[in-house]
Amino acid sequence: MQPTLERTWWQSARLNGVLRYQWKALSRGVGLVMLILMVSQAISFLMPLALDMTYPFTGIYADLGVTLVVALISACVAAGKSTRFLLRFGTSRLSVWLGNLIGLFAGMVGLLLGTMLLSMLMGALTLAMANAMPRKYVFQRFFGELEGATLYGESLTEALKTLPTYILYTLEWTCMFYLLGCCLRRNRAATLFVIIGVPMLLMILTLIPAVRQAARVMENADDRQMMLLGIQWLKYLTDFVHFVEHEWPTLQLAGAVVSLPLSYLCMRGTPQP
Amino acid sequence: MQKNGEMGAPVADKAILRVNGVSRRFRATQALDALSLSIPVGEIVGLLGRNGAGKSTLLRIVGGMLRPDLGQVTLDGEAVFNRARALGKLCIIGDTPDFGHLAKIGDLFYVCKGLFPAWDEAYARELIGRFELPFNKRMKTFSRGMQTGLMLTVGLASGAELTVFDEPSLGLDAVLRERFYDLLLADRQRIPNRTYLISTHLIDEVARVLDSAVLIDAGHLLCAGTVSELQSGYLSVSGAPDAVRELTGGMVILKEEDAAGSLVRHVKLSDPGDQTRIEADPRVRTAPVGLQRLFVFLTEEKEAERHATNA
Repeated sequence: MQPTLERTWWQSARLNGVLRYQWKALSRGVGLVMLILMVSQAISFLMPLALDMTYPFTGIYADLGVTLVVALISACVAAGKSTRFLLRFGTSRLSVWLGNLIGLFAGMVGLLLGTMLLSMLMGALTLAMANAMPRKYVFQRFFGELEGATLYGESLTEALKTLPTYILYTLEWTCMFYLLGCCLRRNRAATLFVIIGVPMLLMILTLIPAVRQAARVMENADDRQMMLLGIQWLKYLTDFVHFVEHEWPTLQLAGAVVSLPLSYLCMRGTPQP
Repeated sequence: MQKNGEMGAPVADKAILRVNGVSRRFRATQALDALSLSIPVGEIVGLLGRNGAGKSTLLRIVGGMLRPDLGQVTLDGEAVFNRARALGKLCIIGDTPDFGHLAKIGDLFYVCKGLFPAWDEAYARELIGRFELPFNKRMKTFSRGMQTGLMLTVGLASGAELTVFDEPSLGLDAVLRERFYDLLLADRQRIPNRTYLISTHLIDEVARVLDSAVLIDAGHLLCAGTVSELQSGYLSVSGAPDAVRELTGGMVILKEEDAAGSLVRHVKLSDPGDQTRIEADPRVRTAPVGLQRLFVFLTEEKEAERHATNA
């Protein structure tokens, strides 16, 4: 043996290396997305100076949509190419799994905060320009009476209030996307079948008998019975939407909690090519 | 020399790596069949075998990338599969260079510094010069030889207790291959207790750096031992054809070659006293049988045995 180095579990597990890799890999992707957002915002902001148009700013927000799209892509990449690279050096699967998740969480929360900072910056610029060119730069909400600095303050407070929820959503979806990435790496065809094919199959199997039944009823029913059937369908639909609305945060959280161990088990059992 | 079957349990006293009865099957193919071997600490060990012998499967199992169906692999006494502490002592350099999403050598070294606790940055930078690699160029523009050189740099500078190279010379020109072998020997002087396991087809080329070798064929251990142990019992005899024929008559001939009026016979000695008798004869010259020649002979002998059993 070499002169034995006293190593912590963290060092032996190579978590530093996994995190360093994720920093290099994710910072480039997140940086590129931020650059695209900044350039597009800058173009939109500068266009009123050249053209006869208005730049409206309606409030500060953290862009959850963009963050989730990037999280989906990054999680699949982390579960695929990055995992392969890290395992090839003889890194343990637990370290790769843990390091990937920590890296993804940090990267995606960073991106979410970045979009909010960009929004704050654009708001401040619009506020400044709205004083000089009020016809070209409008700092106003579609609804509501607040304007200018008051609106900026109010909007920032609201954005900060929703930020913890957005961060939680980002983490939850990242867990689920990472599971998807792990499953895709293990068996792409089966995963795609499960996430696309099975819901479609279920929908078809549910819809076809329902439509047939409705058609049979409609053949013999009078206007009143048809109206009742329509109302009944509408009620089912409304109940379903209400259920999803009320239970969605719980479903999402449960999905994320279940995804964590499943993603580990999935990647643990995937043979390394 | 240890042969399969004689090696119920690993024999090396100070073994860093022990493979105990490991079997792995891929559908109809039995890649490894109850393979047992041990790799002693501080040696450069060659893992030699034909294509499909099971070398890469064994290395994937050693690297924790694949789980054996049966048996166990331990590194410094700890099972390797998914064990962070055991795997932390290992650096495995595969035969396919892979840099993930990393763009430049600096990025790779930055990651390696975190991956390998004993990473030697200064030595890695020195090796970059020795392998003639451009530090600031993007790695995906590197030729295959350059990529291999970079992976070898990572392996050498990793400082891992056990460093495994799978086909380390793929794509390297002759000069860089020789340079790599010299670096291996120099590194062994630098860190005496560091162990290297090298899987390769180019047996004669790597033979000069090996302390010991493990020969596997069709998922079985053919033999294992130090190079001199493996070579004992075999001899290359050259000289006047009549004298060579006379001295080696009745022995198993591995290979016979005519060379400018003289005859060279690589033979399996049938008696321990044969070597002294032949070496004492002034009409002939003797030399140990090359590892590659020996490997070919042992493989063919094993294949013949298998055919005979099947028939």
